[in-house]
Amino acid sequence: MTILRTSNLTKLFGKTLALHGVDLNVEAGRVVGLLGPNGSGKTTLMKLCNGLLTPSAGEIRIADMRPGVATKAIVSYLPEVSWFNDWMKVQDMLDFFSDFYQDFDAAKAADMLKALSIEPSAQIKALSKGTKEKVQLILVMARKAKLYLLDEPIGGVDPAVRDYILSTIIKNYNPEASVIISTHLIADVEPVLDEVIFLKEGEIVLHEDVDTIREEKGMSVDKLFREVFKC
Amino acid sequence: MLGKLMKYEFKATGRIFLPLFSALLIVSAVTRLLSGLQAQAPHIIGITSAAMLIAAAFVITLILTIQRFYKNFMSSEGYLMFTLPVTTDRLIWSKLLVAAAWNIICLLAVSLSVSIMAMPGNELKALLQSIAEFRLPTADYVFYMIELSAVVLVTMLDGILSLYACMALSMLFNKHRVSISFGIYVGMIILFQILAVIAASIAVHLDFTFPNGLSVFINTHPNGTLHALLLLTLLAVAAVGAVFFAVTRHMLKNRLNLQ
Repeated sequence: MTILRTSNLTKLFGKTLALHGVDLNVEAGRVVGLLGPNGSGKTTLMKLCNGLLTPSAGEIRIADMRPGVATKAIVSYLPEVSWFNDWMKVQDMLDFFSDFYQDFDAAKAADMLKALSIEPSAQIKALSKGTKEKVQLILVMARKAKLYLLDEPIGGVDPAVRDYILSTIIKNYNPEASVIISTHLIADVEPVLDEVIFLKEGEIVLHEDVDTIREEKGMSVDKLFREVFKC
Repeated sequence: MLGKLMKYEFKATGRIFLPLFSALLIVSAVTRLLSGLQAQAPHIIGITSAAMLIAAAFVITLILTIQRFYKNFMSSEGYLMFTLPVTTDRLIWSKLLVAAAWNIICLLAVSLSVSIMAMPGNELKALLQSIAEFRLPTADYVFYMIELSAVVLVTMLDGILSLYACMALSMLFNKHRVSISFGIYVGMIILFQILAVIAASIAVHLDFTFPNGLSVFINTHPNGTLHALLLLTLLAVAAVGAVFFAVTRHMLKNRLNLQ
């Protein structure tokens, strides 16, 4: 089953072309790396899939639906930015997610918080940047979504936390769901990926299974990336 | 879902408004008690503090009306709000209804505070008594009251929606959104003034001699005419509000541009 399909997806910001004619198919049950240098259109693609931007041309289908209320109910999105209302406590965010997302597993979120010794009674304002990122990831991963869109989930944290986050992602996603991870830290995510998409200046330059890359090209994704995006 | 959105909106705003309005009422009551004392100084301090709290109540109500929309919908918090499985309409309504509720509560709190401090004891008693003795007047008066309240309420919604529309329009720009919103607001006020002047000068030159039937109707049914006028006013005010709502909705739905 195709969970995400885009055809000729194009986004212009004024005269700047952020995405150009992107045709993409992501099947259910896959972990996909969306890789590319800064400004290649990764965040734009994720925002389009979440209805935070409207395409200039082309189309997006998530589980065969256009982005809207129904797709938002099955897509779990981790944006690059911290979206917390800083007056809230961690517990308020758990309640908030329970109220709005039917697929949110509050008990699982509570377990994950406990494993990281984050107090539900803590004021979000008082948390460190890294802890905030962890809470945000826990909330996003405690949903039983059909599609997880994770924008730079490991960008701002140290390597130890990076490993924890990646194992959280892999342990917690539902096997029928797909995960798309955008990042430029390829070596870190490579072990968990099934396939990769290379995005360059708003166009897809490669979409391949990680095993195929290793077998046919005889190199790691990291090495291939360095070759494709050589300056 | 509208109910849940409003619940969180009340939580986010109540933590500021409730202490503010409680403080206002407490200071007013204490001032009232102090006025019975011989000493002048504590009474003056009480009145000054209450006056400052009244000013603060109005300013903070306006600022929070603006800030809740801007921060929750146009800053990074928008990433959370606009990926919730709810329609854009419900998001706007939740902000609008809660803001309107606080604006009304603010007016009530200020009136109550002034009454507590300024109303002589016998008048306060008379007021309470007249409330107790309140009997429903004629049907016409009841309808006037309903119509007037509706006009006041919808005018208030208009005012809030005009702020929302100006902020939402500033999403067409990538920088200086706060000053651009303010500029759009000022421009809009000037435009409305010009339109009002044009409408008035046209009206002066129009011939308002009604056909016989209508003037006879107005003379014989003064109440009917006034009701019709109030309802027309209500429709006009609601139409303006609908335009502001449509602009806000279009911007948030199709031109969303979060920073």
